[in-house]
Amino acid sequence: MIDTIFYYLFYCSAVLVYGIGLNRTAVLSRSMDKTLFLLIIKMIITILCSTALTWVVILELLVPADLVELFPLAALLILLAVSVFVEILIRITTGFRTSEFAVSYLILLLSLNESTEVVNSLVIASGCILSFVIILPVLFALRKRIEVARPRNDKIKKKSLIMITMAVIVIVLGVWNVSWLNQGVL
Amino acid sequence: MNRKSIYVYIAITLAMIISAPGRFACGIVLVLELNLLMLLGTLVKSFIHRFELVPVGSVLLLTVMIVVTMLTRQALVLTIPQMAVQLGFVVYLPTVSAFLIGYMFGEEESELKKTIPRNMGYTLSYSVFALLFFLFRDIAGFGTITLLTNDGLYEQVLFDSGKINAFVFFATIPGALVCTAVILILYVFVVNKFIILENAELVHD
Repeated sequence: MIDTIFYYLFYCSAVLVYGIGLNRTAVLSRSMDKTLFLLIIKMIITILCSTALTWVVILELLVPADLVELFPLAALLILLAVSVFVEILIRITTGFRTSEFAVSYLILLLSLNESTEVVNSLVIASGCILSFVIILPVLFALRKRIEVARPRNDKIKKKSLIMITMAVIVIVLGVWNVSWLNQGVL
Repeated sequence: MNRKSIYVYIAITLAMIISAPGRFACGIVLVLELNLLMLLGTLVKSFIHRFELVPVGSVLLLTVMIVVTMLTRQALVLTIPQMAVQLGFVVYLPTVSAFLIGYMFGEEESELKKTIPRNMGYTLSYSVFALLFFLFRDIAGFGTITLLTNDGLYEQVLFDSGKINAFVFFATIPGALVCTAVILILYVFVVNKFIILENAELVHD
């Protein structure tokens, strides 16, 4: 279980390798405020509930009818229903808007696509969510570092620097695959 | 190209191109899918407004786009199975990209005659950029040009990519990120030079 989480968290990061929410992380990392915290809470609840529910629907309805290929549609409908419900709860209790669809849907699809059982899909979804959450403070710190170092920097140049740094992070995460530190290479 | 469109280009590049395999054939499939989604999405949005289905419009539009993506994937499985395997999860990325969602949900509805050319104009101009990007990655990374044919994939070998190992980097995800960043830096550099020239001409006049 831990292996799977670490796989989607670092080695094959859902954000940096699968590209889920690559553009959203660049936008959301602008500030670390309460809205972001609520957005992450909503994502966690929505994705985990939707994953479990969709898995049940696939197992009980789609598999007996030989319609497994329709699972993205089932996932969409369940995600929308759960997302609206959680969104209403958050708006009533806190007054904040936390609209997020694309990242949640892609994580849901990935976890359903690459899992063999319901617990496995929940673990994969958790790993993907963690990979999304963990990259935000890194990019936030990076933005601050660039702002401090080059305060008059152009916004597009700043984006370019962030992209190059993301590339470096991908290389750093993947380097263990070929590193001479790995056992058995030497 | 204004700044807003540059940000849209960055967003869609990050959302769709970076994680796709660096093959020209993959680019063709993704670009075709993007154009199909934009065309059908625009038509469905117009249909929603025409028949006053606005309260369920968002769900309907998303459902149609997901169905179109599923059908595209099934068509790939039937016609070019190796491409379906190679793309895998990436087929779903254009559907939920900021590009489509931004243009589908962000702008006010106007006449279909005006909406279709405008939306397709955005998509087609981006398609040219995306195809050039994929072509560069294919040639630099693998030394080939891959195309779609009736029999599946066709690979035209241009040179032995093993001889220029440094460029293989551009076929990878970090390579694509660096490539996008370099294109942006070059663009800003050229634009700044033009601004300096314009200012110099104004002072001279």
